[in-house]
Amino acid sequence: MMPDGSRSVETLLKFLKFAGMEGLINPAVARARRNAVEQLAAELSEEEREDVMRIDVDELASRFHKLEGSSIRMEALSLYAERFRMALVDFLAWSEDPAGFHSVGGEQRRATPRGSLTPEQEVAERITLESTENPSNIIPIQLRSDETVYVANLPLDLSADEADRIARVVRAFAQDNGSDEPEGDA
Amino acid sequence: MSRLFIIALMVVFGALGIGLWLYFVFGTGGGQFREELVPELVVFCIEAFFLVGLLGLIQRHLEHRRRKQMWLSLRGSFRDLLSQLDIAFLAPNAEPTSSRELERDPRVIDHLLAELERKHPDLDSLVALKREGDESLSMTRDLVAVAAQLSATHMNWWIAIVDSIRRLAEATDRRAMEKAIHEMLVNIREFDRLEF
Repeated sequence: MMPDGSRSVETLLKFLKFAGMEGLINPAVARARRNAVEQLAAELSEEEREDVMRIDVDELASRFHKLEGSSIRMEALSLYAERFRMALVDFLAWSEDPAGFHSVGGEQRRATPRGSLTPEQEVAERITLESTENPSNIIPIQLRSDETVYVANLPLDLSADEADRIARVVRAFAQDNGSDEPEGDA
Repeated sequence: MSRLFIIALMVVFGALGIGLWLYFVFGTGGGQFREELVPELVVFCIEAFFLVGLLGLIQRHLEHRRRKQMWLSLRGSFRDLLSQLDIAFLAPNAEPTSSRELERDPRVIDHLLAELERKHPDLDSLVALKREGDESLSMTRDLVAVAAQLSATHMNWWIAIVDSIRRLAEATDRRAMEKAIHEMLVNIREFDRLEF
């Protein structure tokens, strides 16, 4: 098979089949991409079917409200969109220069074998996972190594006087280091 | 009443009705018993056959269908969590599990448990799972009442599932998350094993 100038979805599918059989692309990768193209082709317009250069994959994915007869699973749709994108990259590269064609390659492994994590990785993960709990309107202030306090809902236009007022409220909670006897009445 | 008991009753009344009718039509003698009581008994058997038997079976069938729909509603409520797990353990270039299987097939749970024993999900998957757990929690909690309509045991396992989803949403390190995921999958497996 050689490029014939056609950039239709049908030619893209033929290319994926050919590339998988000829070893230009790993057969498993080619099969996965063919399936992704077939899944997403359902929502393509006539113009997009005739010329894949017109396809905006993100926009195409946003048109879906149903996948495999069921409601959308965003993670599955993202996976198909990513495979479609890679298929387009390879197809256009092959169309431009079939002799010097090199595939962009397949997917990376998501999961890693058990026991392959380093302590540093686990610490980095903990920080990331903890940060997902803090919405942007909550500000963490680390007091001590084992103590963090959170200040919530500070307005963006906070004035110095208002900050002072907050500080005075917080100061009222502080214990006097000298003694903890209650103050006498004034 | 079990289905077998209803079928047995139908057979008894059906056979008795046919026997009495044959006796009434082709029998000889019997006097007043055959002339007056046998037709009454035949009508009684026909009524019993339809009322006890057929209507009982239809009612059982409808009830079973209603409970199946409830089970599917419950099972579908954490489809997105299972979908995230499915993608997290997906081998490169493999196809994700279909929505239908995620919603209905108990074997998916065994597969995910086996994958969890062998692999660590990556950080992106953990973050996505944590977010999904957070989003699914209120919905699954609201469905406790639906689980209670199936049986008390269903409700207890459902509460255990909700609790493990809560732990997943609150976890702040990999170990706690993987433990919560494992608990959730085991609880779902137990929930799937219950008969409804």
